[in-house]
Amino acid sequence: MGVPGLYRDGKNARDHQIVVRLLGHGLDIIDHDGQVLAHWPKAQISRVDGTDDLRLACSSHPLARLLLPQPSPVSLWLPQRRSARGLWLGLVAGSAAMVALLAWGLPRLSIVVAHMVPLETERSWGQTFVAQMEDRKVVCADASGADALDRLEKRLATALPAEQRPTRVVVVNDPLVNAIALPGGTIIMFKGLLDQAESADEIAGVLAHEMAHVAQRHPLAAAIRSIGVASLATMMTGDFSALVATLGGMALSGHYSRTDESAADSMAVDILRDADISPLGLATFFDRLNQQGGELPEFLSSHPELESRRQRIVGLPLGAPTSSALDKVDFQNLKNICAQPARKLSTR
Amino acid sequence: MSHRAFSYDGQTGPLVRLSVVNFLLNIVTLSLWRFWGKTQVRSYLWGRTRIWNEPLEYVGRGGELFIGFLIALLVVFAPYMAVVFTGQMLVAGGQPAGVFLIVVAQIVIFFLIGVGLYRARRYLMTRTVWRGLRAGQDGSAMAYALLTLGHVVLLGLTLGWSGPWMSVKLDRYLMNNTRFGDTGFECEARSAPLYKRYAALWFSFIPVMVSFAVLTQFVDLPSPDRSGFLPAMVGIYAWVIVSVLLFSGLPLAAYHAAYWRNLAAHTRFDGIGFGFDMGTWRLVRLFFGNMLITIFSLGILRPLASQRTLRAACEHLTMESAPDINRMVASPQAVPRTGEGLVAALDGIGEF
Repeated sequence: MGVPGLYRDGKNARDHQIVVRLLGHGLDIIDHDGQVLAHWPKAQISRVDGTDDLRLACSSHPLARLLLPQPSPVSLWLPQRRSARGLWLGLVAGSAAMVALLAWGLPRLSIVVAHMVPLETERSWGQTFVAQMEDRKVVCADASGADALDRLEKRLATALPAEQRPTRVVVVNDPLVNAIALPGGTIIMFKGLLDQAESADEIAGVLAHEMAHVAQRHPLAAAIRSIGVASLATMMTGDFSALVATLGGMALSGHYSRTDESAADSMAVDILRDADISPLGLATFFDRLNQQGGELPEFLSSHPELESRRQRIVGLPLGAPTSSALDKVDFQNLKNICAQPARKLSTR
Repeated sequence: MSHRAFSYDGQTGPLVRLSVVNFLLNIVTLSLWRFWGKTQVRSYLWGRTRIWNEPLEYVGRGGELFIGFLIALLVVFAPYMAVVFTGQMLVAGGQPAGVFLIVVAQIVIFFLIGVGLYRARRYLMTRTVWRGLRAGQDGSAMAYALLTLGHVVLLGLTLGWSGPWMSVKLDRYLMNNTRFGDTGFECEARSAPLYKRYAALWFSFIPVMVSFAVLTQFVDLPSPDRSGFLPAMVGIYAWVIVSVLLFSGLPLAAYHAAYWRNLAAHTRFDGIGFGFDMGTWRLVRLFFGNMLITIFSLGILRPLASQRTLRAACEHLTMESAPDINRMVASPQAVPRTGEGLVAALDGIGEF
């Protein structure tokens, strides 16, 4: 008595006509002479999926296969498969949890990593970064305007330790209403932002905000994060054509996380307060941007929830009496900083 | 034999389910699952591929890929990154020696990619089993990598005209060192019959170059932070792709169809010849379908693209007669214990 089938021994390509004899602890494979070709212990037997017949493998004979016609008493004799009913639910819940964990953890982790990078390394890397942005950029160089900007920066920077101060603050002749901090501590303010500002306190507020980004090394953290997200996205989707990485990197490039933004806001208020400048200027500026609404896609997209940020600043106690960030003459000079023929960013 | 030598009977549903489960598991495991996921996909694809009505079997394991990846990370990728970083620091510090260091590192890594590709193929072959026998890839990965390096250098020196000659040489080396059990393939393909189509391809790049030159001459690219920059870049990329497709797409497909037809026609297994009759249009359809699937699923459903490729290959590949299975025995050659590490660490290949 036995189950007829085919046996391949993994040594040659031939099929051997055999019968299988089922025992309690395993099975014997017997050829037509009644000789036992192999004994397979039950615990080592597994199914090979994907074929119409029943194919069995034995872990102690890696390439040997047993082929039995279906339906077969052997499949009842084998341990039955467990069903994977909870799999989908668990998987969807698990991946949602992981995405949430990453969204929460990556901004924090990237800050920690950014602080582990030596400042010298960041500055020399930042130099190559600035060099890439150059060529088409022109820096406004009106002497009295540059003096005013320098004075404002010094006033704001007094409370900061030397290594947290920006390496350079420049205005670029460009209608964008924006300011950016680059890795390595360069802050670029766009002319459009100066045009929009109605008081020196507003400019001081934005500058303090960018200086806070530099002090907390957010630009480097943002770069690290976008690289991290890009490589994770690439590996998760298995898309090595870098499509996902490019999309993810583009969505994140130069964008600070909300955590970074609120940290920079509250530090900006401290910087302003230490310099005896009213933080309400920053709040007013947020308000103005908010009212202009759709006008400002660039600034809005990287700085969401302007209204709530404004309210947080307004809600803070004012503290010591304040004086204007710049006097009227300096403010006008700063607004006119682009009057002088501009020079290239790279010349310095 | 009445039926075809090669056939493929995989389905879309199970493969989509497998791909989505793998994607979710990749998220949960921060992408570490991918080695096991790839193994499962291969297992499915191999199992549905039949040669003389007997399915292939993929016997690789995810753990082998994972260990190979770790080794490559430690032995190749980490030192490479360290050297490149040191080079960049030297350059930033004003020392030109850094450039030399980076260039050397690039050449070495390019050579190692060649080694890695060959070893990946060896892994894939030894994990492919038919009728209980493993396939195999003998030959030297170093020799192959040197040939690849020479291929690239010659391409530059001859403005591309060495392309078919070296490609055929490389594939001949691959095929002549491929075997099933202990029975080797023999490949005697030559590049001469390919040069007519290759010339058409070569000359079709001239209008592409000209149109690109004209475009960059007359279009002023806005600076990177302006709102117009992204659309402008997308426009330029789109134009490059469209012009390549417009002028060179058909010549490219025609060349590749001829290339594989030529390769198959001059390859023998145990004296039995092959044929590959896929036409140009079929190749174009296959390529575009696969591209659309990959792009619109963000790479998640790429196994479906692999399935289309396998199905098309089985449809068009023919074999004169069945091999004598009574003569085929297992090879005494040792099999590699880990797989693909280098290629997986540097870039990664698809299912094949």
